[in-house]
Amino acid sequence: MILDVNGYFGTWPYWPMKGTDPQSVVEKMDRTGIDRVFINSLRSVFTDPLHGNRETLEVVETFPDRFYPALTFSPYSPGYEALRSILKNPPKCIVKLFPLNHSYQIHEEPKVEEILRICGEKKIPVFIPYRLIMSWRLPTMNYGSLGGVIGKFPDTHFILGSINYLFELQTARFLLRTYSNTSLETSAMMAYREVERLVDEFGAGRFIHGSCVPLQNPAIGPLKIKAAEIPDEDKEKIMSGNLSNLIGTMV
Amino acid sequence: MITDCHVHIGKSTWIQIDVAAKELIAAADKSGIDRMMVTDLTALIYDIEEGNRLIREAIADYRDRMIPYYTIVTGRHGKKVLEDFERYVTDHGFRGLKIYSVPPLQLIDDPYMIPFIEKAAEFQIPILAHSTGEECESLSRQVPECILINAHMGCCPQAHGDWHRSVAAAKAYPNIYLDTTSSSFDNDMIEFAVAEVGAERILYGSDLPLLDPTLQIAKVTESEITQEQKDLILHGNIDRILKRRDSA
Ligand SMILES: [Zn+2]
Repeated sequence: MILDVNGYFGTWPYWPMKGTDPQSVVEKMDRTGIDRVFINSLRSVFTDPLHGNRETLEVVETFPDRFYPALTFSPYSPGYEALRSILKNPPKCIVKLFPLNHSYQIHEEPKVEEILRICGEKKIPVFIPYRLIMSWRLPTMNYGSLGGVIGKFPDTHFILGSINYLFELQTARFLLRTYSNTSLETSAMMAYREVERLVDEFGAGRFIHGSCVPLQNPAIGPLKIKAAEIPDEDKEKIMSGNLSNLIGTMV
Repeated sequence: MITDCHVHIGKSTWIQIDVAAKELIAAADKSGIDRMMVTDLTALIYDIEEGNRLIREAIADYRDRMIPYYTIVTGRHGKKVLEDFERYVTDHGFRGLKIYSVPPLQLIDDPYMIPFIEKAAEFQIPILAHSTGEECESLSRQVPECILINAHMGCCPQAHGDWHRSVAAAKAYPNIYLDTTSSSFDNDMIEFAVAEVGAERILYGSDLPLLDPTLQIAKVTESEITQEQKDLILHGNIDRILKRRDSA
C-alpha cells in the first residue's frame, strides 16, 4: 500500500507539462503503484483558493478511491470562511499552506492561526512545503520562522515537505528534534543515503512518502523508500503507515 | 552497462563530504555502475595541484573503474597549472577537465579559462562544466572544437534550475552535451531533452556521493524513451566521447 501526501492537478504555469489533469494523474499512479494521493488544485496555489478547493473536492468525488483532498487558503484571498465551514465537519483531508505563493508569513497571520487551531482540534495534518517542487528555479520558504508557530500549536501535526539537503535539511532536522508534532515528507530528498541517515536519527515514524505527482517523475518517490537499506516495517511506515495513523485520528 | 560522467572524490566542508575511492566503488557496485568519471573536491575548491595529485593516488588501484578528470577551481593560476594539466593527460591518463562557475565573479568563460578549454579541445577530452547554458554557449563560440558537458543540464543554483535554457544551448551548439544528474526530477525533463537535441547528446551522471545514484539512474530508466536511447544516455555516448582522445 502506497499513500502519497503530496500531489497536484491543474495547470503548471512555468513550462509545458504533460499529464497534469486528474485522469492522467491516476494513470501515473497506476504505473508507479501509488494507491492514493492527497491532491490539490494548482488553481488554489496560483489564483483562487476558493474555487481551487471546490475543484479539488470535485476531483476527489470523481475518483474517491484514488484521492483525498488537500485544501488550502490564503488570508488575503476569498476562501477562508468556506474552508472554516468545510473543516467543521471535515472529510479525510489535509490542509496545505502556500505562504510563498500566497505572499504571507505564517507566524504573522491571525486567520492562519485560527485554521491551525481548528486543525489541532480536528486532528487534520497541516502540510507546509518548503518549495513547490524540487526545482532550483522556484523560491523557497523561510523555514527558520516556523519553530515558534509549531511550538504554539502542540495539538496540530505539521508535515514539513519538499526539503532537499544541507542547510534546509538541517533546519528541518532541528524542527523534528525540537517538536514532536512534526513529520518530514520525502519528495525532495535526493541525497545519497539520506533516508537511511534520517531513519537512523529519528526513527521511521517521523517520515511520510510524497512523490509530487504529476509535477515530478512519480516513479522516484516510492523507489527512494523501496531502495533504502532500512527494515521492511520501516518502509511500510513511511509508505503508508504513518500517514494512515495521522488520518485515522481525525475527529 | 553504466558509465557515470559525474562523480566526486575527496573532502569538502562546504558540501559536507569526505569520501574515499573504496566507498565510491561500493556505492557503484550497489547501483550497477561499471565505470565512473571522477573529479577531486580538493582541486575543485582549495588546491588544484594537491587535489589532482590526491585523486591520482586515490584511484590508482581502481583505474579499470575510475576515469579521472583534471579539476581546476579557476583558470587564473595560469601557465603552471596548464602545464600540470597537460602532464596529467599525457602521462597519467586523465581523460577530462572539470570546471566550475562561481557567479558573479568567475564564470567559466573567464578569459583566463580559455587556454584550458583550448588544451582540452586539442586533447579531445570532455569538459564537465558546472555552469549555465549561456556560459557553455560562450565557450562554444570561442573554442568550437571543445567537447562540453553542461553539468546538471541547468538544474543547479548557478543556472537557476533552468534546464530549458541548457537544452536550448545544446540545440544551438552540437559540441554541448547535457549531464542528467541533479536534485530535480521534473516530469518530462528527460523526454523533452531527448526530443529537442536527441539522446546522443545526453549523458547520465549521478553526482555521487552527494546524490543517490539509484535515483539518478531511475531518472533515465523511468523516463518514457526507448531502450536504445536509455543505453546511449547510460553509457553509449560517454564511451564514444572517451574514445576520441585515443583517436585524436
Ligand atoms: Zn557535482
